[in-house]
Amino acid sequence: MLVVFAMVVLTLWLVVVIFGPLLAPYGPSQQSSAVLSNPSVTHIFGTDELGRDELSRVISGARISIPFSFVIVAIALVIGSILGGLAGYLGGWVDGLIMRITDLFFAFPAIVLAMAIAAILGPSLTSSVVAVVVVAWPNYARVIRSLVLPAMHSDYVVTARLLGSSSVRALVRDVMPNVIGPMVVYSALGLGDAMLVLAGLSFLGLGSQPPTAEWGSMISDGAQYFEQWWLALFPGLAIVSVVLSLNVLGDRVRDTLDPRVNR
Amino acid sequence: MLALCLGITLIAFVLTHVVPGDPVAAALGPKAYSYPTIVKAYREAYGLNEPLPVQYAVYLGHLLHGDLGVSLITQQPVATDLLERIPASFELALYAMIIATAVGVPLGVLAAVRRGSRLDQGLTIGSLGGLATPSFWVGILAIYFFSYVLRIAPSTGRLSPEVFPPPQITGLYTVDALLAGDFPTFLDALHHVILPALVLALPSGAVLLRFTRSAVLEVLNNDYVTAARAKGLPRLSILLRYTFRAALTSIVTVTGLLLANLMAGAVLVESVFAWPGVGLYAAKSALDLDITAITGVSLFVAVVYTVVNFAVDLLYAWIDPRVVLA
Amino acid sequence: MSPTTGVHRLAASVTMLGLIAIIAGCGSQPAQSTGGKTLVAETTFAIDSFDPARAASPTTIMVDHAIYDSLLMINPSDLSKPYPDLATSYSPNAAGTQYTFQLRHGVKFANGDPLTSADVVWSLTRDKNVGISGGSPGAAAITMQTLTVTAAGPYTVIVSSAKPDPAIPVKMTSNNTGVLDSTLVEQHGGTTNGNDKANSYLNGPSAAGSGPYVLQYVDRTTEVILKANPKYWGPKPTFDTVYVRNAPSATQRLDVQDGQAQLAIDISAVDATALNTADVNVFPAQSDDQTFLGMNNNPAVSPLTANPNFREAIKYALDYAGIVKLAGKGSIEATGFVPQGILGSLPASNAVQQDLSKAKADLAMVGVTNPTVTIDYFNDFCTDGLCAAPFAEKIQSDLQQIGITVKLNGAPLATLYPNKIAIGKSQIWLSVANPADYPDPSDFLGFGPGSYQSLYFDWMTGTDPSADAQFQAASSAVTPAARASDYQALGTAINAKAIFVFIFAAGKALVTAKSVHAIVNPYWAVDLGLVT
Repeated sequence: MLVVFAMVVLTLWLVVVIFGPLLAPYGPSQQSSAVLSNPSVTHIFGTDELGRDELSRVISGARISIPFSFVIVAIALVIGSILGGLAGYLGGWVDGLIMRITDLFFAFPAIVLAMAIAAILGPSLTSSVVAVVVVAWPNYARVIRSLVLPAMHSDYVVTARLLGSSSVRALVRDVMPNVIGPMVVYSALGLGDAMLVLAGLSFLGLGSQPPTAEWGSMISDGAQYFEQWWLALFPGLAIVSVVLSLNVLGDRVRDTLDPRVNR
Repeated sequence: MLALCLGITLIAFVLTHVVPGDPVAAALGPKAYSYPTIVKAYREAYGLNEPLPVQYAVYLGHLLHGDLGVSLITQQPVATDLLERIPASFELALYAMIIATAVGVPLGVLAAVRRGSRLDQGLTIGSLGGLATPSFWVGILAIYFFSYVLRIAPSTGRLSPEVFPPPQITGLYTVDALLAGDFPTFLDALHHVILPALVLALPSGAVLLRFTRSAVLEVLNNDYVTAARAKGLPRLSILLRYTFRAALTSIVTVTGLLLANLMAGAVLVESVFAWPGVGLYAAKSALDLDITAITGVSLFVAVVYTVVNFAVDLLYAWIDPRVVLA
Repeated sequence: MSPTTGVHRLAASVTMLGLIAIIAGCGSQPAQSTGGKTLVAETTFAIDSFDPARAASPTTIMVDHAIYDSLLMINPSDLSKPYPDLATSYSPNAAGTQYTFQLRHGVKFANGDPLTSADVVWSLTRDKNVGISGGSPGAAAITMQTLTVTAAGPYTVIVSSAKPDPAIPVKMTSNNTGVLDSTLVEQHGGTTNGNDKANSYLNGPSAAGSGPYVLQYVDRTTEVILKANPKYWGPKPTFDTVYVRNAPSATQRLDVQDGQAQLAIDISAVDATALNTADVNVFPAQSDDQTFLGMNNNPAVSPLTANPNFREAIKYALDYAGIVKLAGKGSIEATGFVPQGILGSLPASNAVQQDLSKAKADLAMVGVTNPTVTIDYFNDFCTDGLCAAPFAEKIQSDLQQIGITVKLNGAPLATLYPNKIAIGKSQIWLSVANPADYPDPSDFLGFGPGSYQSLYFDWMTGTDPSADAQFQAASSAVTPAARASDYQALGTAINAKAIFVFIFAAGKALVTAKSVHAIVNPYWAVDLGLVT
């Protein structure tokens, strides 16, 4: 039931991402004299200090937040898989080195490191994406390593090696299937995290820049206006609806994959 | 630990220098920056005229003596800046932790015991929601609702105007006020910390709930619990006798993780509530490219993280003697 | 229990104790309140140093004005004629290169030491040298760099300059010229030679000033407490204790309305507009912090803005009324590089009106289809409660109306300024509420041809001889009448060139509870010593 609801929400957002401009009643940067107007029939989510339609901006923001979170997770996953896979597969000093590097990254709180990187690269959407990738990849590396390591010692890989079959082939044939399932779950959850950090950076002024409508920066702008509560409310609801749906799905898939928890 | 400190200082130093930017511009502002004599003097005063490796060596030398350098922006030693802000952050994190534990653990046990019920489903959605909500957004809504609409909670600061900070012992206003026997000040400090702590506690409480639930579930499915049940022991007694340890272990395990979460969340929550802690300082330093301050904050956080992890290991060993410390 | 776990527990306890020891901050204790009237002023803390030679941030500047006296003080009703403060009178020599100040007799510092010309000479000389080599933000050095200070008797001070400097009296109102107790500060590491170590002393409870208050307690993140100075030479301040508390704009607004605070110092334009004036008094004032566009005249950097017609098109496309409205109460449209109210500013009739057809005609003369420009602005730097982003968006939309596409490039000062603007690579720079230092037209000469702001936009000496001559005339004029007309002529020339388009002077709104009365000051928010 809950899962169905989450699927519906995500599908709706997917439609918004694809057909956004067709659905939005106004342009996201279109200013009007109706500044800070209440939610009404003409402006369902109200307007901001420059008279821009909040609904259109939330829709436009979906086309930033959602695709860029995907990009972040994809890049972090690739980097993490390569390094984590190498660590688990080769072991020895390579494993030690890669794990020490991830330790270093874990010693920084993600948002502090991401903040520093985004600030240094100069606040922009691109720098905030780079910053989130930099803080996210060690997580994936750790998970991949922890999945590859036991598989390397599993009977069939050891047997395959003894039989002279290439261990790389064994890795691909026997280890990969074990890794893919958990990684899908992990990525779904990571997608939500990436979206939250990305929004946090924008909130601090280190992410996307005006006039781009991005949910985090819209909340930051809206926070200045106490009377106009709708300016901060709606972009936040958008974030929650996406991340919550992703978490519900990820959670359910994990339960299915890990029957131990599902008893 | 030493390698970690070296790594962190190196990362911070390299990061702040790879991409061109000039912290002196932020420190001086546009007008003074247009006077080459002043810029040169400023660089010399802060040792920024030296080549990077020399700056790094000097920094490490000072670090050995516990000197974190001088912030370009506040013109104060970074250690002093941090010491001024740590008690505030620690107080906030402490209350967030208390709230998260007080709410997350009992609810987690409840969810496990009533597994599959509507209550369990509701708690699961609630905990997922807690993890899915941006803390800065909740903070803004909380200020709007409690401080602006209802006017029952202060939206910023650690004490009301005209309430003096209590004599400093720990730097935690609530604790110091109690130690001084000053109950009104304690209440005032508590009143100020509650709202930001609640907001900060949200994701941690959600994590604790989920950890506790699965830990308790695991124990409940153990053979000895099944045996105890078969013996006809009352449910509550089983719960208390067999699951308490499991819950405790789960709490201790996630404490380290949560502390990192709290420090991370604090950057955003402190920004929203203008809470004068390390997080706010970190955010400001990052924007101003204040190298010494960024490095100092990173070192501090890393040290806390490492120490807490170590403490968690020790506690873990104490709770569960089967664990052998490496 | 095994001995091992005992050891572990001990280790854990030691670790925790260590943590607590780290956490226990060190700092001075605020003394307990001794009764008397108290004033709570809230502001968003921007604190660098309370040392007047080093202070460059709004909060420290305001607090320093309550602790330290200068020779003169700003007269809000006529900025060119400062009030007496430590100096009871002053007079220039015939050449205008030397000003003689007669000091007030009987002034004592907070510790009882008498204030004499030696303290003034020491403090002002220290300003100059600490600014150049002491690692301070440099404002004091900029103000003092061309001046020499000497004593002629215990109560006479002479400030001289190589070239005639009619701004000397106004410069002597700057917060950086606060006079310190030289004996006391020297005891705490103060020197005039640039190796000054008095910063930390002056940042804590100290008694080195002669102003109405002394610094009693400093918590740089939450609160600064000022106590009335019993040795103050002037009228006793109404409030015995002043709490200056750190609070963001929204909190200031709630607190001043609820009576938790009596002064809200830097409420944002947004919050000021939303205030219920039945509960509070709002004192709007125009500041001298002007917002302007700088457009690059270098065709190699930007062929578009190097074209005068293009710059003119932008100048007439801006919706000045809309922008001033966005800036909130107290803001007024600018007329030129000298803010209105200061000697030599252009009258209000010179304010530009939006004229879209003229703008379009100018743009047509440029003959470029779909022109695109980038506007740079600082996204981490807000002054007077105003941040640049909404203005950048507003201007973007205004220029869109005449067919100019604008890309916005918001970046922190630390990267944008040194890497782009200060090396002349910025196409258009939007500078919002550029802070002014003292109310004399010479403070704004950076906009003249060949001067520092102009260099960033490639307006060199020699490109426009008549403007160069006007610049020379304005910067060397001595009599008030000559200065007024020369600065106006220079203002007209700068406006005609349209390399700089001055948009508005930011308003400052001081909000007070109905119970108190205060006068807003455009340079240091409010004289805390004069609040009644």
